[in-house]
Amino acid sequence: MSSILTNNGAMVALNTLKSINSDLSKVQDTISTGKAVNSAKDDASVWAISKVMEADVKGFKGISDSLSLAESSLAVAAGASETVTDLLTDIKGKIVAAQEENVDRDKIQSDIKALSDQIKSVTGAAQFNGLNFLEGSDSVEVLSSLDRASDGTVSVSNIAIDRQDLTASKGTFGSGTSLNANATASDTTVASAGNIASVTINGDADMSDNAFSIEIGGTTLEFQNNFFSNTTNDVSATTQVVAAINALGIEGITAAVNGGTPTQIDITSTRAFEDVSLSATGDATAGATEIAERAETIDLSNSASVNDGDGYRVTVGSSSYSYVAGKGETMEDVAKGLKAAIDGGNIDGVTTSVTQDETTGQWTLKVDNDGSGSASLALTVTGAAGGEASGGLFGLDTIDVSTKDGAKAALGNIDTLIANSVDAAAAFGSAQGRLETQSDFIGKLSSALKAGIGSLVDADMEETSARLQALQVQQQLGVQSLSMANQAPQSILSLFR
Amino acid sequence: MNAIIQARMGYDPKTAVSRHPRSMERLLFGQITSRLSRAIAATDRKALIEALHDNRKLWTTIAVDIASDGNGLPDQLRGQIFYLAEFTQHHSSLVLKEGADPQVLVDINRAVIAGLSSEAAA
Repeated sequence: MSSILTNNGAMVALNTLKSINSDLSKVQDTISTGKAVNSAKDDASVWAISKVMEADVKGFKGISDSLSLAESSLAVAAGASETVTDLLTDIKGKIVAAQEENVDRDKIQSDIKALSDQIKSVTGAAQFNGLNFLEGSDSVEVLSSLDRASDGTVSVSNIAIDRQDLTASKGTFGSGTSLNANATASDTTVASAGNIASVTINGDADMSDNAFSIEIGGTTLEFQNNFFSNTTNDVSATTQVVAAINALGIEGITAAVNGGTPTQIDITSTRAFEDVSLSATGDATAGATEIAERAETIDLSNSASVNDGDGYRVTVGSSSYSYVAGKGETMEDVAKGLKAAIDGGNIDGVTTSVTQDETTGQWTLKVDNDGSGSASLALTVTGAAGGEASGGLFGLDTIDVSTKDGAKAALGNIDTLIANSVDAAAAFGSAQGRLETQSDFIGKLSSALKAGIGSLVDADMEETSARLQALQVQQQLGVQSLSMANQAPQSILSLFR
Repeated sequence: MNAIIQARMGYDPKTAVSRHPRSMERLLFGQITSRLSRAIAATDRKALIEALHDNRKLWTTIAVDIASDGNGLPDQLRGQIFYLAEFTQHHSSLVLKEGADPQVLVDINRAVIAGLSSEAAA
C-alpha cells in the first residue's frame, strides 16, 4: 500500500487539523473569522477545512493537488494502456500473418520483437510524478477529503486506486502455503503414444451372414450381410475391417489387429485435444464409447480461491514453468498464464490448450507431446502461496513465431494479453469515475472559500463564459498583482520549475 | 543566508527576476502557459498532462489567495478570478477524461498575462 500523499501540504494540513482539533470542539456554530458556512452541523467537513484555512490553507491545496495528481496519473495510465492495446493488436496482426506457410518468419519475429520493446517503453514511461499505475500491484491511496465527526475528531478519507500491471514480468514463485491440492495432473508423464480403444468382431467361420457397423469420430463403416464371402472367417474379416478403417484416412486414427486376440481391432487416436467417439452395432462390440484425447490434463480446482501471490508450477520434461496470480485473478488466469509459460518454453513437440468445462466451470490446462522431441516427458504440477504476481503481459517476451507451432501457440496467447490490457484501461476508466465523485468535495471547499468573497460570478462552465470573464480580468487587473495576501508570493515561488 | 544559497540564487531563474509579485506571477503564468501551448502544438499528451497539473496547482494557489481576507483586489475582480480558477479545474478534468480541447486554458492564461503586463505597471 503506497500513498500518493507525499506532498507536504496535505501532511501539514492533517497535522494542523489535529492540533486545532481541541479548539474545534470548543467552538459551536459560530466561526470566528466571519466566514459564512451555513452550519457546522450541515457540513462538518467544509467547516473543518474552513477552520483549517484560517490556520493553514494548504489543506485545501493539498487535497486539490492530490486529486489533480491522481487524475493526471490515471490519465497517463489510461492513455498508455490504450497505446499498449493498439500495439498488441499490431502484434496480433503479425502473428496472424505468421500462420501462413510461405512467409519470412524470422522477419515477422523481429517485427514482433520491435513492437514488444515499444510496449515496454510505453509502460515504463507511463509514470506521473514518480507514480506508475502500470507497474506492480499495490493499490495507491489518494487523499480525497478531511472530515470532522460530531465529537470533533478529524479523519482522512482516501480513495484506493488499484494498479493494473502491464509489464511482462515473470513474478516470483512463493514459498508459502502449499497449493498442490488445487492442481491435479492426469499422469506423471506426457507421452506421444496415442490412446487406444478396441472393437471386437463377433463372428464365426462363415461371415457371409454377419452384419455390423462401426462409427469412429462421426464416420461410419457399414458391413452388410454377404459383404464377406461364406469362406471368410472372423479372423480374416477382422483384417479386412482394419484395412477398411485405415483406408478412410480419418485424421489421427489408425487401426491394427490386436496382438493377442485376432478378432479384436485396436483403434488408436493421436488427436491431441479431442476425444474421438466410437460405437459399433450388430456383430461388433465397441470396448469404449470414445478414444480419449492424447494430451494429459491438469485440472485446476473449482472451489479454491485464487489469492494475490498464489503461484502454480508445471514441470514438463526437465524444465519448470510458473505463473503467479495477481490481485483479482482467477483459475482462468492461472490456466492461461501456465499455457503462455509452457508455450514460451518452445519444447519440441509440446503443445498446450486451455478449456473450461461447460457444466462445472472447471478450468483445465492440457499438455500434449507429439514425440518429435522426446517420446515421453515427465509431467508434474505444484502450487505455493506467497509469491509475487506475474505481470499482465506475462508471456509477451516468449512469443516466437519462427516455427509453425510457435506461431500457432502465439495466436491463442496474444488474445489473453489483449484482454488484460483492455481490462486495465477499463479499470482506469472506472477509477477516473470514482475520482469525479470526490471532486464534489473540492466543490464544497470552493464554496467555503468563496464565502469570503463579496461579489461572485454567476457564470456557467462553458468556454464562452470563461473567455469573457478572462477578458474582463485582463482589462481590470490594472497595476495590481493577483496575490495580495501575504502567503502567496512564497507559494508562487515554489511553483517554479 | 549562507554563501551556497546565495550562489545558487544568483544563477536561479526564479530569483533572476524582480521579486515583485506581479512579475513573478507573470513569469510563472508565462512559463506554464508556454508549456501548455507547446504540448498542444506537439500533440504530446504526456507533456500536456504534466503542464495541466502544474497549471491547476498554480490556479489553486491563486484561488486560495483570492479567497483569503488579506487579498486587496476589488470584490468583483476577486469573484471573476475565482471563477476562472474553478473553470480551469473543471475544464482540466474534461481534458483528462474526455479529451476536451485544452486551448481555452491557454487563452485564459494569456489574458491574465496580458493583464499582468499592462504598461501602467509600477
